Amino acid sequence: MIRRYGPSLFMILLLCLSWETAVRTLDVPWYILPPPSQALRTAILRSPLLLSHSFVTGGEILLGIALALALAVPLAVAMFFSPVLDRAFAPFLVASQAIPVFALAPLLIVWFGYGIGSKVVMAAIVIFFPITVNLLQGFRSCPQELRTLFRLMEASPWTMLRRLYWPFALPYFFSGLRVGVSVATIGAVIGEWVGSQKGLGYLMIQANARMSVDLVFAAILWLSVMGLALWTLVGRIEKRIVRWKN
Amino acid sequence: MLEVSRLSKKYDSDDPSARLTVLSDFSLCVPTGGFAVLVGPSGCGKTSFFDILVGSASADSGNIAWNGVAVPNLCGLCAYMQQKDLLLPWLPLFENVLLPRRVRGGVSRDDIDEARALFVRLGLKGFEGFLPSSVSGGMRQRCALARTLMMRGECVLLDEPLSALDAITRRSLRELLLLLQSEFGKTVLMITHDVEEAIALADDIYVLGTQPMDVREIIRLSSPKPRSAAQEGFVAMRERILGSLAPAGASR
Repeated sequence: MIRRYGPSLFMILLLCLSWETAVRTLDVPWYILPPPSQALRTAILRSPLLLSHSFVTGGEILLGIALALALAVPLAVAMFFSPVLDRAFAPFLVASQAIPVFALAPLLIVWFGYGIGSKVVMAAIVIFFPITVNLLQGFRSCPQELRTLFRLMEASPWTMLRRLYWPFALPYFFSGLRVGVSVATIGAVIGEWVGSQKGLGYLMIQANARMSVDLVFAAILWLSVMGLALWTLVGRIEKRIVRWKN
Repeated sequence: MLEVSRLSKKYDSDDPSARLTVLSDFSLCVPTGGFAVLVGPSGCGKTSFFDILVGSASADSGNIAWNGVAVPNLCGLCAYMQQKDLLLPWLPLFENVLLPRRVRGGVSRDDIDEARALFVRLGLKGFEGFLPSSVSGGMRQRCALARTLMMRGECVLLDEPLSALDAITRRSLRELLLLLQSEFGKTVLMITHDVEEAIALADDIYVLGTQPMDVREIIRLSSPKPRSAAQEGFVAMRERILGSLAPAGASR
């Protein structure tokens, strides 16, 4: 446990300690940069408020993941089996990454409203790409000899997908999903910045306007914890499902 | 009976130096229940020939016939075993062996009993629940053999199935390969570049020349199997085949 998490905990402690010392010795006003102890205090003392906003942001992220999965998996399968669809969708896939989600945020607010919908879509756009690309890559990496073996067993395309391509691509899928969930918070929070009435992003904008920088930091802390928790959760699920890789 | 007649395959290219005739009027015949072995230097076109048989590539001309009926390839008619075990790494050994039946729509009580019996026969008993990554190469190849036997089809293609194994394991597996013929009545066509393996197992040895692949000599062996180097005539036969393979000059 210590050997595994020790180095990263040590780095975090070192960073916080130097930050704390710098703010206190240089006498930086707390409304510009509060020391980490103050941010942590706020994060704990205001936890009921933060928690209620976290539920909103967390919900947006989870729904975003669900939406991204619902689109990415069928798309990757379709692109893998049909060269025509592959050629048709490839430019869109790249474009969805080339256009920054920041640029789309105001439009999505117009289309999907100030509520949870626009943020879910925003998060989904961010997650969608790594899942699709990785899954497709996984399908394509399946060795020719294994495909031949299945062909000789007269397997239908559906059977090959279920028994060969899908399990083979699972490790690729999970690494895509892990990248996806770690950036999903970005999509949701940007959506909340542009227009919302709830969520950690909304809270940050509000707190910033009132010069409560400690609350901004507290929100960032909560966001990081959420991102980390999601990342760990996906890692755990992966370990359970892709046992043969370990 | 597997009959291949006048099979030809050319790889065309705009660059004349890259044009390659792999097969030119290649013919062979493996009688039902027979064990034929193709021996040739690497790069002689054996793999291209197998690719055509399993339908991964198509021939420019020629015919393949199974029991007198012309077929485009042997898909659904033959089982296939390679140098790589091709076990699915996420399935335990037992499930890997059952795979051909699962793919064909479902596993019955009989299938499970059949697989169990194969595990006993091939010395895999007790390893049913192990993942391929946690057993030795020899054991994986035995499991691949068990799966090959679970594939329905009276014909078995073996593409250098033992070449990735160490000498000791290879010897013990040779005898198991003979079971394909002696116990299960399969018609076997095997590729190898190991001359001794060919002599140990074959009824007919096709000694191949290279580019395009042609038959230099067909040797019929009728002594009881498995044959070992200690037996009379084995070494002489080996020298004869090696001699027959040699004159290609550039390839050896």
